[in-house]
Amino acid sequence: MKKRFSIRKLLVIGFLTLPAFAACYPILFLLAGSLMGRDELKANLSPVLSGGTGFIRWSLLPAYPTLREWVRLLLDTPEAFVMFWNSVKMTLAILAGQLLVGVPAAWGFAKYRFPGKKIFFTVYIILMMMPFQVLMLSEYLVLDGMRLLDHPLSVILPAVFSTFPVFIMYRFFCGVPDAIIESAKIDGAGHLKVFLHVGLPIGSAGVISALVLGFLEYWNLIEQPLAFLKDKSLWPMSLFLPNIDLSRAGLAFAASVSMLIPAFFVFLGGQDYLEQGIMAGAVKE
Amino acid sequence: MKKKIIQMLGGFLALMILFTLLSRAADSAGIPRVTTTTIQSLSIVHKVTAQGKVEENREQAVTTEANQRVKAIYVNEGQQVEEGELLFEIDMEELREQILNMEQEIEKQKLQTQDSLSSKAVEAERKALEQQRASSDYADAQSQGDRAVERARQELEEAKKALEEYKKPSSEKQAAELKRKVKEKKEAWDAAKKELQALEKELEDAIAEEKAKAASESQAEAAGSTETGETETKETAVPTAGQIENELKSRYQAVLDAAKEKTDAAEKEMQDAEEALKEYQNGAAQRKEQRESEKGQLEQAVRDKQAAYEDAQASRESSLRSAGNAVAGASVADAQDSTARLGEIELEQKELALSKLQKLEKAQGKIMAPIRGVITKIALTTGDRTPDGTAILLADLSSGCKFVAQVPREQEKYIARKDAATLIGGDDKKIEGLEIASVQMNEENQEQLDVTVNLPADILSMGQAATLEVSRKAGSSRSCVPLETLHYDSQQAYVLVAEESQTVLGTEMTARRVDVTVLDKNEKYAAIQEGDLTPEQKLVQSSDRSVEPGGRIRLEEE
Repeated sequence: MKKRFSIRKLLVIGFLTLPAFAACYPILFLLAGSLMGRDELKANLSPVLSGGTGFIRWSLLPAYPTLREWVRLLLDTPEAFVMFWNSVKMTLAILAGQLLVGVPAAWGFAKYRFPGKKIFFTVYIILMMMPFQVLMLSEYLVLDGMRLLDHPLSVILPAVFSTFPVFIMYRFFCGVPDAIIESAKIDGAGHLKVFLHVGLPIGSAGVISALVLGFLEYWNLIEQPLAFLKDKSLWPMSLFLPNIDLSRAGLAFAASVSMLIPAFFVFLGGQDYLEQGIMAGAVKE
Repeated sequence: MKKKIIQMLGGFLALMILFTLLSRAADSAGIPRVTTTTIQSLSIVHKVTAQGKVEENREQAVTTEANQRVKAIYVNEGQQVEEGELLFEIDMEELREQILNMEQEIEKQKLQTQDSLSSKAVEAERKALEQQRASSDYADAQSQGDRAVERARQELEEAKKALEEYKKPSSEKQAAELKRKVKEKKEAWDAAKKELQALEKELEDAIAEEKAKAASESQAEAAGSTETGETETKETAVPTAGQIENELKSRYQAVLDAAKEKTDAAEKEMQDAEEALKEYQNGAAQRKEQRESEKGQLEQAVRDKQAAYEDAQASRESSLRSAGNAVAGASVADAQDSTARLGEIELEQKELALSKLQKLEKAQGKIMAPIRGVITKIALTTGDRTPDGTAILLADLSSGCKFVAQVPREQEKYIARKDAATLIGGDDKKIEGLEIASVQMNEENQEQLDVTVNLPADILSMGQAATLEVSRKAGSSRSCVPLETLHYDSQQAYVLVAEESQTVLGTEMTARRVDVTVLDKNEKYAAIQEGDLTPEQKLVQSSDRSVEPGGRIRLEEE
């Protein structure tokens, strides 16, 4: 094995480590910031936050590390937990909704023939391409008409009917061989049974990858809750401390790190599926 | 591996649940629990309470002669005495000695005064004499001086006159007379010369005429002789030119001679006159010299007399001045001498002191209480001498007493003259129906007011402590709040109103600051401007920790 680590390889690894570090640097930055004291943060951040001159200085090792901001976040800031659980609830509700709506939709697109299927699917893809900002106004008007503004559903419902997971899962369901479905049907399975016992198990990777991607997206929602929710008690964690000032910079760092942790776990757990899902999205027929 | 990750995620969520609970608990422990109240309709009563003491209304000092030895004191401070009660006694022996001394001093003083009066009279007499003498000296000096000056003036006048006299007959006049004569003679001579010349001219003219006549006649004769025969006659009648001339000359000779003579005489006279003038002019220089010297002597005499006159005047002035000085010196008043009058005054004073001492002696040296009162101060010690001022201070009981208390100055507006007051004595005895007599600034402490209540006699004893209570009711207000609800931010008063508000944690109670205007207040309630608060608003009254405006609160269950 050792032989394979030739000098050339070492060089390549070395060459690739640099951008990898650059990519990871913001996370280290966050971790260091959450451990800094208020004075150190003030000295480092004053150019941006309190009208000082010069540039931000930063070091990866806090000069005077302290857990103060963590204690403040975990024990003195119940608002942060309200928001954290809001995020959890919102994300889980969205993902559950997508399971209920998106998975059958994707199965239908993949395995059924019906008039206008192509047109519908094209509309789906077009909708998937639309950024939120384009749809925001129409969504707002619709939500207002449904009296859903300032309610968690105003964020949850549009996400539940999002087209992206359908697209992802469609790819996976397309990969389910028709022969197996035929055999199941011959064995007497109905449409539902075929979907539940043949389609889902085979396309589970697609479902999971869609859920992982969805989690990462909805865990970090910012625009939708900001646009549709006025009641701050409904806001997700991503809107915690929308205005960072010097006195709360440390808190913001700690909150950001705590926000990162679930996403990290989900990423770790769903890493394989995530790759498959991204691949499914990337390879077009 | 995946299981582990899911377990870790579960662990993380469990941790988050734990911290959610913990932070909630910590947060709610930090929220002040408050009690609330609402505005009430009340009338604000201002009650002023103050501790004070009963003091005398008037004090009277008992004095006696200073410097007496105190033999015995019969009273103590705080003791009540009746009018005429014996207060203290002084040593009679020493008093008598002082009286004797005083009498002797008065005698001495009398003698001294008499002496000074007689010496003053003698001095006045001497002075009058001196004055008289000086004025007569002055009169003498004046008359003598006048005489001397008059004499000198006369001499000066004479000398001036002599000089004038001498100056009058002038030699120039004589010379002018001579010159005038010379001129006259010269004019006479000139006239004679002219006359002579005229005559000579006349003669020549006559000669020339005759000559011309003769020439023309001879011509005519010559012509006639040729023509007529008359020539003969004519020839005889015509003389020659020389003949004519001689004839005329002889005819005029006498006149010419006379004229010549006259001219010569005039010339002679003129020469004489000139001679006389010359002679006079020759002698004039000599005469002039003599006159000059005489004139100089006279002028010198005038100058001398003038000087003598001025000297006489000056000497008169100086002698008058010295005599005048002597008069002035004699009439200068003597320095004021009040010795005698002062002696008299001193005498009177001593007599007065003596009379007082005698009065004291008459009273056997016993000092009585002049009024009924309480002894407040004794400035005497047995065996020592009496002081100059107050010996014993008495509080006048007959004029009643007063209660004096101090109240802080900020309560000035709640207490005024004529306010009804209640006094509570030491034994909880309530005395009502009293009236504030005065409210004045305390002299020592500007932050305090002295409140005085006049007490009827014998209600409270002197020096007793009591509590003053004065209540004043202000108009009723519908917006009264307990004082605890009021807070101050520099000068602005505000209350905290408990209100529901939406926060991240949901609906919570917060304390909102509402600024109010305090119209009046006493120690319990404040009346605030109506309209600042509504009756529904819950005002934070008390809390278990400090409440910040805008901070979260929890209402305590009632």
